[in-house]
Amino acid sequence: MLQLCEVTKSFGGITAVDNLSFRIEKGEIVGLIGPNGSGKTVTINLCTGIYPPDSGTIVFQDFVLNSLKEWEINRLGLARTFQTIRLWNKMSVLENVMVGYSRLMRASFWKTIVRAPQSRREENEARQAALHALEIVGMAAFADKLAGDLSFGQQRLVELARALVTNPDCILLDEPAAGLKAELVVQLGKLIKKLNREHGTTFLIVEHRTQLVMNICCRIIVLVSGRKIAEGAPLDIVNNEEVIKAYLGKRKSSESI
Amino acid sequence: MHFYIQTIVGSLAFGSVYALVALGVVFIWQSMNILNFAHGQFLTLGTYIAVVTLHQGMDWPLWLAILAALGFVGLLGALFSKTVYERIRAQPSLVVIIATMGLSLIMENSALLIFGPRPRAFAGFFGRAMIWVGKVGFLGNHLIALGIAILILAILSMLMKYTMVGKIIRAVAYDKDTAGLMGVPVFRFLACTFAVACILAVIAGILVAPVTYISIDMGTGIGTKAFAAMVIGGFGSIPGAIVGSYLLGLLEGLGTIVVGSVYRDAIAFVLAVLVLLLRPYGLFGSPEKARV
Amino acid sequence: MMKMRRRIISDANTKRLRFYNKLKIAIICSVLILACLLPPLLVETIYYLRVIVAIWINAIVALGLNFCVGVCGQISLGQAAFVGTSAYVLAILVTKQGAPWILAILVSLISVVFLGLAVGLVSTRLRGPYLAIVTLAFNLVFVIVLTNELNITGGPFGIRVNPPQVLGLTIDVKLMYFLAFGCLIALYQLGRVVYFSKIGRGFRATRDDELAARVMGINTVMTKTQAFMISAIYAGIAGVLQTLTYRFIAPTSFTVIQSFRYLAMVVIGGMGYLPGSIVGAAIVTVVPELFRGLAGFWDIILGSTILAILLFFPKGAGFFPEYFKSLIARSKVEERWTGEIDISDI
Repeated sequence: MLQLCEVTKSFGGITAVDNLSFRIEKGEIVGLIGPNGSGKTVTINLCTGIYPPDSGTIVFQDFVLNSLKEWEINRLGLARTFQTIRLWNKMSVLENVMVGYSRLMRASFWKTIVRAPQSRREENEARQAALHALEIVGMAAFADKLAGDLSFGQQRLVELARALVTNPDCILLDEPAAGLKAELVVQLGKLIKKLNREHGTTFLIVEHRTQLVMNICCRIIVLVSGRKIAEGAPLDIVNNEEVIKAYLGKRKSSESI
Repeated sequence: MHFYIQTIVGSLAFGSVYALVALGVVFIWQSMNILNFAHGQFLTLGTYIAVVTLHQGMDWPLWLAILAALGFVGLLGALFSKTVYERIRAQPSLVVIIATMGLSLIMENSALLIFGPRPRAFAGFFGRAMIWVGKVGFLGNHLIALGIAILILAILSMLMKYTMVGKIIRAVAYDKDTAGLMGVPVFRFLACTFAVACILAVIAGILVAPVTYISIDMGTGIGTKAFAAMVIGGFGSIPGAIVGSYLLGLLEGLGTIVVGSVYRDAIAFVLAVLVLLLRPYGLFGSPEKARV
Repeated sequence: MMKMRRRIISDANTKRLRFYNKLKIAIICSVLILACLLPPLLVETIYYLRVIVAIWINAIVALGLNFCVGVCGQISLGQAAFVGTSAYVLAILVTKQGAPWILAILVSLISVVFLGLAVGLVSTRLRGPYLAIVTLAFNLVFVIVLTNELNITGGPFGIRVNPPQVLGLTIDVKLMYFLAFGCLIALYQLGRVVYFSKIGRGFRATRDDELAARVMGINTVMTKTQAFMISAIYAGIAGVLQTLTYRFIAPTSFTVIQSFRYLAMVVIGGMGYLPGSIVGAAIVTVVPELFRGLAGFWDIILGSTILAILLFFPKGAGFFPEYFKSLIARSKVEERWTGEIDISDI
């Protein structure tokens, strides 16, 4: 479904991503871990079209993403959340999530202005889908609140709702667990697994803390300084010497699942 | 032929004036991330104070009047930077632009109330005298403008590069947080940079005053063209501002031959738009420098 | 937990409360509208009527500009040039070409829309300060061309227009009053529809965080272009109304200072707050008339007001409704968030 082929990206003198290649098949939950600054967010940014790779190709569902704009990539069915939360603070929570639905709203400008039936129908659908997504993450009661008024954890959930409101084929989560309470992280994990099971949504989860990823991912890719140093099942990763070296001082006991 | 050389020198003289103003605007942009739409007003104010109030009104010797005006406007600029500009910095760029435009409006109308709408003449150092090189005559004031501007630019660049003060100013402009951590009194230096920018503007005004009349809107006209020059040369870049200004001056002067003098002012802006369409970041600019 | 949540959202209490709120607003609006319709019937002094018509026309411009600047966050320092374009195209077609009014109005509106499209497309390639200078330059060149092309535009002397005859009646200020007011109400309603539609959400998302908007599927190139086109069409309609009402247009009405005044209306009313633009227009139009003799002072006051608002009161007039809303309890719904995600019935 999503494939990176020898992708490289540099900023100034720093190579953020170095000859990276991996595949994600449909229906997988894949984790992308690595120490800070290893290029995980850059990878996601490359996949979502925020900047083009210097070399290599990124393919999503038989479409080459390299020169596509961000919204075009989104319309193909790829959604993401942000490491630093990027909600639209002056809009309500419901409106924030409704914007996430925009890839399925195809009514033209003119039809929207005159409130043609197609536009009204899509608006209703968007509203229902947004409320539904908010219910899934437990934030439905906050639908009319301004997104900027919410607490950090609540905003994270709203961002998640925004990403899943259209049931995209693939969701890239950038550090979804950061700042959440432990119990919430467990719930989040269950939610991801459930979505994966019932809707077949593919997930790529970037984390630099490994708790969530170890629990729910079927496969983990380890990135260090922009290069992939290991890839495999969680248990294999944990025992991998390179990985242990990279996460200096990490001992097996802290990996208890 | 002689006509063209005269025109070119005259155009470069104007380019010098734009360069001094544009340099000040770039300083303010680099250090405070503010596009100072009111910059032209400092030019007007300083020129009026020096020439009209002190020299013509109170019979001060010209050099003293100029120095006093520079000092006054410099201080005023420092004051404004600390009170008004510091406060609006944090706001989104649109708000900042509207704020400086508002300030410009206030200053322009205050000047109108104080000095009256009538334009004044100013003979400068040369009056209408021409300097002859062979068969080609140059307006003395043009040469003075060119000469002094180049001198100032040279001195300024040396100051910036080689003196401690210059280095600190550059450091603050580049990354004021780190500079602050290094013990630099950042606010004082920001005010200082602003003052220098205003002083440059006043010098520009005094240099251009003998060539055009002194009027209330002289500052806005030159200021906006300096903006256009900056945009052409590449926003936020010092060499860009200078090159853009001279380029603008040249093209303006030569363009007037083609298009006629009524459209002289339009040349600057049409050029700016054209350049931006082809190179959105100007000739020397880059996305980082235009970053707000 | 989910079931209880659903019940809270569709609680009968809330529905009734929302209905009463809407009713209150509807009543207030109707009263206001009726009040606004009275002056031409009661007042005979043309001067006062003209001032109020000016409010309506300026409000239309401010609404359009608010979309571009307040709702979509794009810098536009050349709104007066849009107004001027339609005003001049209309005047030129009618006087110099002898075109029928309806056709001339259509052509002038279409030309403004295309102009808005052009500026909008340019705006997508430029960031903040560049866009500011380009729109500023556009306005400046516009005024220079107007002032110098005497043959076409009448130069600094402007153009005088003979008003059309409709059904035997010459269009006068009173008729224009109702027409302008009607246009304002219609355009305001249209504005509300756009604001709450996916277009409006796209605008606001582009304003609040463009990167996130792009990644979430919004074509920001299109939203920015649309924002400019909307501000242009509003300005265009205002320009037509202006020509009809005053029967005389000159370059001085479309300078950069005028663009700044439009911006002032938007800022005072609250950027992104549609009703505020009308308030802002009223203030910026009326107050100088009160201080007629002190023209210079008024601009100083205007500039200072803008500065003060931007420094201390960024929401402008939009501050008041939000403040009152927070004072008055809006609903009796309790927020109960237990900090859990319940996935039992996805």
